Amino acid sequence: MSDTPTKIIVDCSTGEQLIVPLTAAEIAAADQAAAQAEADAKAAADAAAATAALKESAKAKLVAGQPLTAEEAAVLVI
Amino acid sequence: MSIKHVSGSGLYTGAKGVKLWDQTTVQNDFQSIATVVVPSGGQATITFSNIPQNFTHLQLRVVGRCTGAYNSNSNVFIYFNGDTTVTDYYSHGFYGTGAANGVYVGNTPAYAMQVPDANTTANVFGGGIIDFLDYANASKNKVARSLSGFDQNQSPGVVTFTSVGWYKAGTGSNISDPISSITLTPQDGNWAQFSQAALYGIKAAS
Repeated sequence: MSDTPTKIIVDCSTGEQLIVPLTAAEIAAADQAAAQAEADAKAAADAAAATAALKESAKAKLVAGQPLTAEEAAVLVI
Repeated sequence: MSIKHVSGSGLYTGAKGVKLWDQTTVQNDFQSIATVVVPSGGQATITFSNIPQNFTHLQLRVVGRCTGAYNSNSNVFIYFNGDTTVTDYYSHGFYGTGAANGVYVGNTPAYAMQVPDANTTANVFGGGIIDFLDYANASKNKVARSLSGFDQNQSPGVVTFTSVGWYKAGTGSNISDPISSITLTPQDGNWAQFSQAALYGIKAAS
């Protein structure tokens, strides 16, 4: 039994439904899309974590009366 | 003056002067084109091909789940006319899980909606409605927008609101080609058995 993933195609002009194996190119495209989505999600999470860290650092410096960096000030001023 | 007779044969002619309804004529302004129910074993993608070009708009109604166990809520990528080049699409979206919320934007795989994956409660399916406005109009750039979501009986779920633009590779401009096929691919594995996608055509009043 093949492990090749399959796709279902419905021909809207006839109603016929076909199940056929994905081509190598389609598998590669799906893998690329999934990898890109994972990379995008990680980048977004990293950016959110970096912003949160800047805010925490800025708050701590404000409480301690220390000067903020430009990046810390930027996350506090809208 | 009382109405003595109304001819049913002329009630739906498209003329704006004829607005009477004989209570039997079905105008068929919202028609089912095709429905796919994923069989046992799942499917990597669902494709609607040879989409008729005689409607004004299309609407896809999806009830789905996918088989991979990764992020709980899986993106569903959408492709038009067999164009699977991820950089040919751009998407914007909002999402909220209850515990977190955010936005996504990018020249990445076009996120059409999100569905639960195998890390969620068993048998929970997500719902989504995707609209393709003026899909057959060769003078308008092609866009889609969707609403989707699911809930796991008090455990976290997600809601999304997304728009997708279809671009020409390397040009940064939208594509106005009529949409003749639509493919839906979940990020986390295959479409699970019993996932369903139903395509409808909508006719505007003439």
